[in-house]
Amino acid sequence: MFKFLKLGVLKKGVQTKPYPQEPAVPYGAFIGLPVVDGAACDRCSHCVSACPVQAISLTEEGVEISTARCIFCGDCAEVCPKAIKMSREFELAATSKEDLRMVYRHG
Amino acid sequence: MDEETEKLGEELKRKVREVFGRSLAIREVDAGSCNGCEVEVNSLTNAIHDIERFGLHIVASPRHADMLLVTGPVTRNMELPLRQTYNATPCPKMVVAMGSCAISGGIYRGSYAVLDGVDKVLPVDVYIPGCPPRPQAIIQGILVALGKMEERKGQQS
Amino acid sequence: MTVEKLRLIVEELPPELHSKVRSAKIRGNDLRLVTGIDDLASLAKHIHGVYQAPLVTMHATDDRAAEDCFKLYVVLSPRGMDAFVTIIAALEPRSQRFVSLTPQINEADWYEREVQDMFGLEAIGHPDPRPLVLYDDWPQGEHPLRKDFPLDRRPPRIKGEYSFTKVEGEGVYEIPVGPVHAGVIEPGHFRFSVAGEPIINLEVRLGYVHKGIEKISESTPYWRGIHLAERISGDNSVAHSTAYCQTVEALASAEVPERAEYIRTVMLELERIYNLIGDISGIALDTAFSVGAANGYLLRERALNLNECLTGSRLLRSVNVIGGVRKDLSANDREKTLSALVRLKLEFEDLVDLMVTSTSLLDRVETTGKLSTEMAVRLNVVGPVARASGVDRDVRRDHPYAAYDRLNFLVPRGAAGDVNARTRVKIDEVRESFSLIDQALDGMPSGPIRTVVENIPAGEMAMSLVESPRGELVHWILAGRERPYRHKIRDASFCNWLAMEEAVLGNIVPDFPLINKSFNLSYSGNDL
Repeated sequence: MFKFLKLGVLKKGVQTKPYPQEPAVPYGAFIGLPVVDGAACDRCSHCVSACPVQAISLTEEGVEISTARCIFCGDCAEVCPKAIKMSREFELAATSKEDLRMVYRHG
Repeated sequence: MDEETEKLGEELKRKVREVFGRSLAIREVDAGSCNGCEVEVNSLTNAIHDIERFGLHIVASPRHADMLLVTGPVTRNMELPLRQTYNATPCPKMVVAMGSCAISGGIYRGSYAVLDGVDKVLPVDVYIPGCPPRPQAIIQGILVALGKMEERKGQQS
Repeated sequence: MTVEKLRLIVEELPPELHSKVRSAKIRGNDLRLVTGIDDLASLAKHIHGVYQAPLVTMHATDDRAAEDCFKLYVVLSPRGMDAFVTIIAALEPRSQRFVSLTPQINEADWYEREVQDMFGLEAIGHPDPRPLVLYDDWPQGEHPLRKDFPLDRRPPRIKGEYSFTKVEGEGVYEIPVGPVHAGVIEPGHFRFSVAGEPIINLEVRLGYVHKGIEKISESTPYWRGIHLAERISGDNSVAHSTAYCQTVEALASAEVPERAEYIRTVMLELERIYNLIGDISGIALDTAFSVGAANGYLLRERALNLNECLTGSRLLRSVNVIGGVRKDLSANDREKTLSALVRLKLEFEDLVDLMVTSTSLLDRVETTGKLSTEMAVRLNVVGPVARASGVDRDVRRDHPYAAYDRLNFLVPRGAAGDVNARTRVKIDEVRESFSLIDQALDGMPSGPIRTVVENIPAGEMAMSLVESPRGELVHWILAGRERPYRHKIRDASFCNWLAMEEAVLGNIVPDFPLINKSFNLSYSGNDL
């Protein structure tokens, strides 16, 4: 009985994180949504060919990343550290597939 | 504490209450995932994330469920069990596609043995991107799903 | 030394077998024997028996384009040597049949059924030729791993029915379970035949999560294949990707920087820790020992958070690249890891203390789900399951890779082979992992973490074994142009599923979830 108490509330306290009342901050090097800096992009399309799941495409407006396909591997940010950063954004749920298209405009 | 985020949490509780009385029963269906999403869904019930505090339960049978949380690209061999699970779930029901492969087939897209996403088989209400999504991303997805459910209820009445 | 021993294997062959060997070459630690298809079984049986060499993998290749035939590869690992024997046999031109090895080598059972499904080669004399992966609604004559089957072909469904083994007798009834289970686990079907309470037969039917991973890999360039390898079995990401990288590196004869090897070792052990703590907590949960389970899952969450902190992914994805690792461990990372592990260690010991002194838990786990040593050897069981049954095998020690040959560790072993023994072996392995990470972080040399790997010669073959948290897994690649020509993946679970069918016999149905948890097998890794 004493052991239960020792391991339980007395020792550990409340462990539950108050998400979503408080925003959650991912740990350390967390890889979240890839974000493109439109101004730094020179349309070389290296990111397009580096993506293992064809999630990136160059369109008229800018660079389009489909979070429907993205597997958050960070390959694009590795080939283009200048314009692509893996952000720490992870709250990406959407009700339609249209909302999963992230368009980063040029300029 | 940020006022806005506090409101968000309260909103979740309010929505759960409004739409499904006091709780929401979730049935997880693995339609061919790599087991990564299952690790994260299992994490939802541990002491740190503890989704039971919102009245969200992971239940053992689709017949008890309000929501199907589907992972995996839907393999050819899981298509029929997935449809049967959906049909066994009482109305009103929601389908949440969790993980990149449930949304589009992900890394397995285009293979002979997969159907490239849950929406090829079932109507999907909410998509949760991630490979796999963090437990908190799943909680956010459920919140989005509840908003959607309310809209639909309004339309029907 | 190894070369000498391998040469001795060829010399020691009895004359009637020696004359059947058409060529014998040694590449590194791999002895490659080419023989005729009719002599494959007897040669494999000889090496399997005389050198106590368990079957590492068995698979086919479609060489019809170049040589107008299919080929079979049987890889054996002689005991006590860090070496392998690969027996290669070509089928007769246009022939699609071979003599089954299963009557002689028991563990070849599922491998041959897989070859039947994926290549359409008939194993003559196989005791159980039912399909393994492809379902009855799969049309005849369509075999996905043949080269004339395009990756995106989705054949129409046909009508068909799978026949389960029937057990008959007075009072015998069947309980079908799955594929959608009550817990949050992967899909698979279990058919229990029960008389009263005890299970008298269990048939496991898998293949529900078959995604065609081998076929996808064969049309994916190497650099991209690594992402696929991480998603073969989601909770064994590092183990699979390390095996994949090591195979490709071996093909290109590339040397990985020493620092990268140490970082891989740390990641492999971090993966083992979160998996095994999860298994141990699962045992507590399935014995209704909620306090233990809640504490255990808390520890697992801590381990996952540490993973995220170091690599950016809770499941340790995007760690490996071909030629090294993607991200260096900074001094800061090292400090964080060490301090997190100190806390984790203390809390883990508390958890263990709580569990091993709980009589209600011990009552459930002792003598439950017994797997005897003989059976474990006969079925070629691997990993913690084998070690709990007294089999002394661990790839980290027997075929060292990464930095394991420079670190000290024990291979924990049990004897009883029940759920209790498996839990204890896993507890001891977590302790060893803690010590391995400490040693690896201490001994980590400075230097580059990545080397460029290019010019992977087509036609070469290479193989890599890695000890995943579930046991020994194998990646075998026959190189093609820029991508594998044939990529064979064998997860640890592929060996262990049949053992579970044995271990549950005589146990009551309510103990099945507990036994299943103590094996903790992967469905995705098995079905591919």
